Order: sequence, then C-alpha cells, then structure tokens
Amino acid sequence: MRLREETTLSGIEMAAILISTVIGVAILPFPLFAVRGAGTGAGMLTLMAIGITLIGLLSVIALGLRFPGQSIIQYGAQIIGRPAAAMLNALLIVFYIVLTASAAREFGTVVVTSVLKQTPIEATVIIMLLIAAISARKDLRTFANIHLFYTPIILMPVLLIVCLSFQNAEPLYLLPIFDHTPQILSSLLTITAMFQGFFIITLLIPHMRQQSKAWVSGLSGLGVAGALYLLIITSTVAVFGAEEVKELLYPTLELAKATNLPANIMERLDAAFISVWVTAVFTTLFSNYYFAVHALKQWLGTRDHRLFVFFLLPFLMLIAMLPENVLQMYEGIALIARGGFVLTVLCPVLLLAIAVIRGKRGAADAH
Amino acid sequence: MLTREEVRCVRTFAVLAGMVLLLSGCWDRLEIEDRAVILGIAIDLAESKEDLEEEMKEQINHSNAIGAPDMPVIKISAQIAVPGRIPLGPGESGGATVGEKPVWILNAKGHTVEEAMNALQQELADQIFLGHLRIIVVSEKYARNGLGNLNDYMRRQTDIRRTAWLAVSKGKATDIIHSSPQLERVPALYLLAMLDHSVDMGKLPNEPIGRYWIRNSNLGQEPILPYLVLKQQENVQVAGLAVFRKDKMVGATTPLQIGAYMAVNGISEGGYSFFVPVVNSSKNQYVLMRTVNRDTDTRLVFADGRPKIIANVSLEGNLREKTESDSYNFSDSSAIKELEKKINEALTQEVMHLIADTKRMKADIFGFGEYVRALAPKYWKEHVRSNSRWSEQYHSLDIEIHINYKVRRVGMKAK
Amino acid sequence: MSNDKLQTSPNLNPEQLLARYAGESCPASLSQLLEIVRLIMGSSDDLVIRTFYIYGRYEAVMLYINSLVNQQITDQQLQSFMTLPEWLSGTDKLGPEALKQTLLNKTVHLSEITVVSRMGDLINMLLNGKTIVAVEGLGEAFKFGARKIEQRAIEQPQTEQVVQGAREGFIEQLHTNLSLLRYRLPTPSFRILICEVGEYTKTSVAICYMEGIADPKLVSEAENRIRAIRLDGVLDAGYIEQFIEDHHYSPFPQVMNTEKPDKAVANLLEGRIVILTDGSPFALIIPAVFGQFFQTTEDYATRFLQGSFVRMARVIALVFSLVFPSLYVAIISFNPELIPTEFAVAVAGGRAGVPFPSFVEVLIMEISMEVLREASIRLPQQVGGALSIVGVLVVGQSAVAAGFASPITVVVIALTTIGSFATPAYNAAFALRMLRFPLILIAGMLGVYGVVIGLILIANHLLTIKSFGMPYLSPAVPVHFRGWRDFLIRAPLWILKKKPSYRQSRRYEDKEEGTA
Repeated sequence: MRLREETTLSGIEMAAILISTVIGVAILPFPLFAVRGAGTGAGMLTLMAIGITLIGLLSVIALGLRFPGQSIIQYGAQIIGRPAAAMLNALLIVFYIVLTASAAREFGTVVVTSVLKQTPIEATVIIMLLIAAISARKDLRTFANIHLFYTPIILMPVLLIVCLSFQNAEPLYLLPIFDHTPQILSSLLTITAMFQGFFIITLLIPHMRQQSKAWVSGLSGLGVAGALYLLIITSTVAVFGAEEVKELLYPTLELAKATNLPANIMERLDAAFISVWVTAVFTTLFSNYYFAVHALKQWLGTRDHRLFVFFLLPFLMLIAMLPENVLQMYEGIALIARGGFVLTVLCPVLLLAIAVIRGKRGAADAH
Repeated sequence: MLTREEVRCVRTFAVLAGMVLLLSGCWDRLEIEDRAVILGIAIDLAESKEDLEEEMKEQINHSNAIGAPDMPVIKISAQIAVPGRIPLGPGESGGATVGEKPVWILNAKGHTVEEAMNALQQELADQIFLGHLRIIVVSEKYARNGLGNLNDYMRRQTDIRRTAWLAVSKGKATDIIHSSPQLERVPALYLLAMLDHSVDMGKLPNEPIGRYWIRNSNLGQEPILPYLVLKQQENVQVAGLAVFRKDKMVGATTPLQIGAYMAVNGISEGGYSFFVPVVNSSKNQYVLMRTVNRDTDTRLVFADGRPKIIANVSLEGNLREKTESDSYNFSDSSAIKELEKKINEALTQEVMHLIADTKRMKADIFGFGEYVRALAPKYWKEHVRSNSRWSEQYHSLDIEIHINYKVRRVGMKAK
Repeated sequence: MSNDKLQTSPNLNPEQLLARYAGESCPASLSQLLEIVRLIMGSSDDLVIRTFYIYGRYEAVMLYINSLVNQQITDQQLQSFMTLPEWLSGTDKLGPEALKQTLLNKTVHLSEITVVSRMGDLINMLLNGKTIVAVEGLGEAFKFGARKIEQRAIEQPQTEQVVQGAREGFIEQLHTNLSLLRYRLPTPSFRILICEVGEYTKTSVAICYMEGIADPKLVSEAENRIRAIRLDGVLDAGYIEQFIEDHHYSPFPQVMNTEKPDKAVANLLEGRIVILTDGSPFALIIPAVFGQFFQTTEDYATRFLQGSFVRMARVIALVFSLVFPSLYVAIISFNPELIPTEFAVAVAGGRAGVPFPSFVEVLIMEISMEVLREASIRLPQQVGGALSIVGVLVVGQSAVAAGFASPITVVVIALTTIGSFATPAYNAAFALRMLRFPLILIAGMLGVYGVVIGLILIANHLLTIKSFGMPYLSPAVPVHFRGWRDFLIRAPLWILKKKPSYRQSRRYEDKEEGTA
C-alpha cells in the first residue's frame, strides 16, 4: 500500500492554471502593440481580443464536455476522421513547440536588453527552458500545485504596481475610448495571441473532479487574466498617454520604473516587477511545454510523457535561437500569433460545428 | 541499466556541473565600488568652435570616413560620487575629513551626448553607471538648440530613472553643478533635494524627465522644465519654468508665474504668495496672501465651431501679513468677501498674462490641446492631427479663466 | 538436547546460537539449562547464576544480569522462594506442577510474574533485565521484573524553550515517555503500538495515535515503514526518521521532532502520529508539512492576536534568512540603482577596499558564521558564551577594520543569522540555512534574476514533495481554506474547535507497492 493523494483538479486549480498560463511573457510589450493598433482605444482593442478568445474558450469547453475524458488530440479523430485529425494534431504539437521556444526567446531578449546586458542570451534562454523541462517531467498534481502557488504571486505585485501607478494617472489620456489606426486588425490578432494559453484547458478538462465546473473555472480564469491585462493597458495609457507608449519598447516595465513605493523603501519597482514577470514567464513556459509533451504522448499513445521532455529540449533551443534580432523576433511572434488564432480559436469552433452537425459525441464514461 | 538512485546521482552531478560552468560566467557582475556612479550631469554648448576642434583632437573622436553629424560641440560635466568620501550613516566615523570634496567633476566634449560620454569613459577607470543619475542640468543655450539628441540617448538607456530631474540653467550649466552648497555634502543631491522639496511645498510642479518625455510625446501639450539660476552664495534659485516647444526651449516664466501655471492646472499643495491691495484704501496698503490648495475644473466648449477652454480655478489661501498692523481689520466675514473679490481680479489678470506669454511662444504648456484631442476627437482629426498645427491653433485659442478664491484662515491674530 | 550438538556449536556466534535455541523448550534438567545459557551468554561477568533450594528442598537457580536489576527486589524474592511457609507440611514432596502452582499462587508475592517455556524467550527476558528462576525438573522457568535502569530526571527540553506552556520534556526511557503522554490523554482512543527495530539493539519503537482521529491507512503505512527497517542498531529517533521519510534527497525535513509531550499530544489530537523511540528523548511526528515548522505549542497557549503576530514574525524571519544575503549580493553587484542614492553611495564607500567580489565576501562571512555556530554548540556552555562574544564582536569588528568585509555585509550576515534562529524547528531552519548558499552563488551569477530562478526552483521542489501523502505546502497548496485558519495566522481557539482541520484535504489510495 502506498499513500496517494487526489489526482483530479478542482475548479480553483483549473482557474489558476488558466490565469498563470495566460499571463506570460507578453505583458511587457503588450501595451505597445495595443496602442500601435488602436491609439487610445487600446483598452477596447484588448476587450475585443478577450471577446474573441472567449469564443475559442467556450468552444473548447463545449467540445471537452461533449467528449468526456478526452482531449482535442483524442476526439479530433472522431470528429473529422483519422487523416485530418493527424494533420491537426501534428500542427498543434508543432505550434506548441514553436510557441514555447518563442516565449523562451522573447524572455531572453527582454532580460538581455533590460537587466543582464552582457550575459549571452543563450544562457538565460537555456536556464528558463531547463527549469520548465524539469518541471514538465512532474505529474498533473504537481502541475496544478505549481500553478496554484504562483498565481497569487503573479497577480499581487502587478496589481500593486498598477494601483500605485494610478496616482500618476491622467484620465484625459484615456480618451477617446474608441480610436483606431490602419494596423488595427493585425494588432487585434497579436493581442488575441496573448490569451491563447487558454488552450491548455482541453488537456485538463478530462481530469476535472466535476467536469461541469469547467464553465465556471474557464470563464473566471479568463476573466481574471483579462481583467489584469485591461488594468495594465489602462494604467499604462493613463500614466503615459498613447503617444508616449508608442515610444516605449516595454511600456509595462517603464510603468514599474516610474512608480516608487511610498516612503522610498524602493526607489523604483522595475527589478521587483522583473522578478514577478520571470515567474509569470516560467508558468507560461511550463504550461506550453507540458502541453507539447502531453499532446505528443496522447498522439503517439505512449504511457509516459517524461520520455519526450528532454528529447524536445534541443529542438526548442534551436528554434529559440533562430531570430537574429529583436525586431525579427517580434515579426516572427506576430506570425505565430496568426497561426495560433487559426489553431486555438477557429479550429475549435469548426470542430464543434462539425461535431454538432454530424452528431458525434463521446462515450459517457470513456477514459 | 542504472538504478533509480544512480540516475538521480548522475543527474545531481550534471546539475552541479552546469552550475559550475555558469559560475565561470558572472557576465554582468560589476561591484558597486567598481562603478563610476554619476549623480548629476551638466550639458553646455562649447563656446567657440575653433578652439574646441583643437581640444576635440586630444580626446577620443568618433568622426570617421563617413563623417560626423554637423552639430554644435557640447561639453558634459559629470559629477561622480567618490566612494569613501561620503560617510556611511549619520555618524561622523568613517567619513571624509572636512575639505575633501565627496564628488569628482569630470568634463568631456563631443558632438552628441553618447560621443561625449564615450570620451568621458575613455578617461575613467571605472565603468560609468547612470542608475543613480538624479539630475541633468542643461544650459539655456543648449536647450534652445533642442534636447532631441539628449532625450533619445536617455530613453535608450535602461538604467535611467524616469524620476530624474531635467532642469535648464540660465547661465552655464557647469556652474550649477560646480556650486558647493553648505547644507548637503553632495551638490547633486542638494539640487535634487531642493527640487523635491519645492514640489512638496507647492512651489514647483512635479515634472521630472519622465513627465517631460510624456508631455513631449503628447500632441496637445508642451513640456516645461524647472529654470535654475545660480546666485552669489553658491546657491541655486528656481527662477521659473522653461517653456519648450517640440524639444526646443522657447522661453521662460518668472518664479511667480509658476504659481499661476499651477493654478490653471489645479496642482494642489499651493505654495505661492502674492500682494493684494487693501480695499477702499487710498494709502499704499497691501495684504500678503498665500495659496494652500488648488483645484481646477477645465471644460471644453465649442463656439462657432471653434474650441474654447473654460477653466474654473478654485483656490484656497491664508492671509499671511498686512503691510501696517492696525490700518485695516478683518473682524467679520464680509470684509473677507471684499478681499476675495479683489484677489480674484488680481489673479485673473496674472493668469491671463501667463497665458498670453505662452500664446506668444506658441507653447501650450497647460495641455489644453489634450482636452480637445480627448473630448472632441472628431474636431481634432479634421483640424489638428499634429503637434505643430495645434501650436498654431493655440496661438488663437479662446481661453476663459474664472478664479474663485477662498480665504480660509487669517492666522493667530484676532484682527 | 544431545551433547554433540553443544560441542559443534563454538563456530557459531551468539546471535546464531540464540536463533538456534530460540524455539526449543526449556530443558527439565537444570544443568542442561545452565549449559545452554552459558553457551549463549558466554562469560559475561554481570550474569549472576545463584543456585538455591526452594523451601530448602527443591533445587532451583536464579539468573539475572546484575547491571540491569534492582538487587533489593531479587533479595526479597529470593527470600520468598526459600522460606518454607508454615502451612506446608515439612515432609510433603510436591510434584513439579504442584510446586509451580504453590509458588505462583501462594508464596511468591509479586504482581508481575509469569512463566516462560522457550529458551529464546528466556534469554531475551534475561537480557531485558528480568530475573529468571528455573526449578529442577519443571521444564519451565519463572520470570519477574526487577528491572532498574538509571534514568535522568524529567527536565525542561533544551531545544524547545517556551515562555508560556508546559516545561516537561521527554527523557530517554520509552516507558516514562509513554506515561507522560498517557497522563495527558486518559482516553481509550489513545493507542500505542510497539515494534522492535534493530538487529542488535532491539529498540522498542512506539507508534502512538488517536483511534478515530488518525487515518487508519496512515497508521498502517507508518507501521509498515517501521517494520521494514533493517538496521543493526537504532540509537536515536533520527535513525527512524531517515528510514521512514519520503524524499531522502530533499533538504527539507518531512518528519517533525519534538522533546515536548504537550506538543506530541497536540499533534496526536490533530490526527498525526507520534513515534517514540526507546533511548531517545525525541518524538517523531508524521506527517509533517512545511507550515508546522514555524508553529509552536505556545501559539495556542497565548492569546490569538499574540499567537498570530508571533507566527507572522517567524515567517518573515524565515524568508529573510533565506533571501536576504542573496538579495544583498544581487543588488550590490548587479542592480545598485534599486537602493536610495545616498545609501548606494555610502555602500560603495564601505565596500571600497574590500578585495573580493560581494558574493565571495558574503560567502566567506556566511561560512565563518556557520563555523562559529557549530563551534559554540559543541563547546561547554560556559566557554560557548565567551566564544560567541568573541566571534560576534571581535571577529566582526576586526573583519571590517582589516578591510576583509564591509560593515554592511556584517550587518546583513548578522541579521540573517538571527533570522534563521527565529524558526522554532532546528531542522527546518537548517534546510533554509543550507539553501542560502546556492542562492548566494546564483545571485552572484545572474543577479536579481538569478535569485528569482533559485526561489522558483526551491518553490517547485516544495510543491513536489509530500510527507506521508500530505502535500508539503498544504494547506496553502492544494488550497484548503479551512486549514488557513491555522497556518500563517492562528485563529481564535473557538474557531478552531475541530482541530484536525485539513486532514480532509487529502485522500488515501491503496496501491500494492513496497515502500522506502
């Protein structure tokens, strides 16, 4: 006999996983993208992106409940047949591998430009990937524990910085609420991409204690993460003004720089913010890595996911090192964002529609 | 096949080996005492170009075959903290002996800021560190030439604080940095304290470099900076606000106009005093009022399709002194009412004067343009769109100021 | 029992001999019995073999080990065996069975006297301090307890000082310790299960739990893990701990120990299991989660505001002692822009002239602090005090004067060390003290970013490990909100009515598998 604990997920854990996955590396440059696309209408643009994500999220949950005990990797074949599903799965796995690598690279770039200017980018990227890899070997329980533990650690300081920064805010800078520029559509896609971490939910629904709670946790998870993004965009625009945000590579970091704690305990909060952000990047990387590895496992039907963890590592490193400079990297990320939109929003909607039309449905107690 | 324990062992060793390898890195480690901590910078335009060219040859020069920018040569004076000369803690022990300057001031020249900084670095053993740069003083001449290059340099630096002060000096900026005030050991920190305390006392709007950048980026607003003047006693006076338009200084206000500026923008914690002639008195009798609280409600209206700004300024103040002790009594509130009316007239005049000044400079330092941009986006898109066109429009902008002064306290004296 | 069997024996060692004779019944012949005893026990000089005649008629022998036995009791009993009672006729010859009954029921006045029939039992009893009386022709032997072992008095435990609360501490003897628990828990729910561990020491290990509160699966799991221990000698509870813990490579303790009976009882009431080891004044408590290590029984004894405040102070001290030196290194050598300008300039002044990079400086000071700490523990108390004064005042002062360390480093190290002592549990504090070193190293490599990476690694480890199926960071993760009432704060007792508040947060699953 051996003492074993719960292997299923509670609603809170599910929501926490969503929150900490969605809040990731992109919170630093995100206001820049939003303002570039919509000027002072950046908040509205973010809201729209959340709306689009919501459609994807709801379809994924509906699919998950329609095929209990299965993830998109498994029920895909039932809906659109084996060959097409194999294509989709392969695309999904490749997408997640690229996503993980690009997040690691973006992280490395920020660290190298803002904190550790002389450290080779390879060192920062490999350290982050290694930590994610070591954690990705763990089981689902630890996965949930780690996300649950870090979620408040990520949320609290960001909220603190946002609240403190409001004392420098100028509400006038937020107006007009509706505004747009020619690049609004591509910006919308880029912003939507920041929320595509929600897709991990397809892997987790089968493990929920009460699957019906997936709605509540899914919505609240996206709600909290979305609210945080909205707060960040509002406070950066309110403090800096849209025109100034366009001049800043990492507006959120500048926000932390411009804010100081009362009584001069810390003169600037950017380093504190960087540490929180490292944690947020870790949880996101961890989720993406975990998704890639488990999707591979489910697709190939092997029993152990740990096999793939260190197998993927060199590929991730290689992909991460592809872009030659910051600008090229962001162009690549914008490209990935488009692919992500197709895979994480359009695909689930289509799958759901096909499943409903063809009347496909999973066995009630399949596992 | 290895056992679990052996695998673990191997893994631990692999991790340890990795750590040791990383340890050989320490790429970014730079101990605090190995950094040349620059506390303040002064930037001047070099006086005459000819003898500068001579000097420039002696130091590192970035001109190459492709050429160098044809910009006036600037001279940078950097105040570097000397470790050990500034005592640790409030006690006397471990400090410097009197007479040793706690800072070291170095000069360098260049066409651009970065070129000058490189020249400075070339003459310095320790790596320049700008993380504690608290004050940058530029001379009026340099400011009138444009701060575009300086701001570009500062923005690209990761260490620069957005809360550092950028100030304009009437004379040579170097002199301000060189001044050795008696209150604080480190001149740059004294300047910093002076500006910070001025903000606390309501004598200066809080406009550090970060705010300058924001105002400069905003389409309907122009930046201002503190305008400093060096006095005889090695002290520095805040002599007004330097007014900018598109990164170039276009003028300066008087010290008292800072109060008027803050009144229009409703920046609370008022700190300026002014004389008001006593009502119904033919003699030369005045009272001195001091504003303590400011609040402004600015509205945008359209008259004949043209924007008009109406600012309702509510001020609260205290009576500080009378020119003669018993010539005039404040024993009931009606006397105060009379006084308030007088004050409103006087202040409206003062504020309109400032507005007229800025209109002449075509610099909308109050940010009325932001109201137009934010509240009337349609008008903005059709008629303005850009910073320079707003400057033109500001020149003829209709502005209405209503001042509502409340006298709250008269001090410990009963009459 | 043939003679040649005895003669072939000398090649075997005593343990093997004992095992060979363990199952055999006692020989009726006294001489044979003594021969076997001598064979197994060899020539131990503390073995007393006293031949005498019961009632002056029946040949008998008394065996005991005089180092374990209270001579007074054996003397008295010898008398009660030898004296011919008045009611017994002088000439009657009793058969062996009748003699046994007479002795047991009529003449020997001892409450605890039993009969042993196997040689193995006989020898074991003898070694445990029992006195054996064998009678010629009976084929069985009497044993009675006259054990007397020197033990120290019950004192206030040195490792866990309290201001308010019970001052009793466990001592080495298991039975005394059990009595300390029993008298606090006069309830049938309090159960004790004793196992023997150790090939040679045969140490009794008592598993104590509350029936109906403790998870029965946890009890049987603990018993299984203890019975699985294969070890020559168990000299302290720490030996047991190392065999039953889940993660041997983790720096964090997964078993809590205490010297205080009241703490043990409090934990019993919360559904945990207390393991007492004979010969050790430390009780082990399982499962142990991270939160327990900064809680003391005093938190419950004092008023709840006070208890909560002190607990938070401990948590802060804990975090402080872990991250403070590494943060210092990170800020000084990577991000000096974070501290106020005046201070930064002053720090630079203090460090000017120190030849080492700050992380080396901090490491050297930390290591010397550890050395000092270790030295003052091992020294006699009187000398220890002098040493710590020398260490702190003289060494610190002269390190600064000699330009070996900067004054701020000394302050940082001193604060950190004090902080690490604020953790009530020595072993948990040790884990964090140990982890400080890799953190300082990584801070010296990557600055603040490195510190965060290090902390993430530590947190991930904490989130992974379990103690007897209990997640180490519970009730924080996985969340169990009821448990939070008694975690970082200590809610008023009337809210904590049901003590075992977060037992429900886990479930045990059966799985057929051996354990560590």
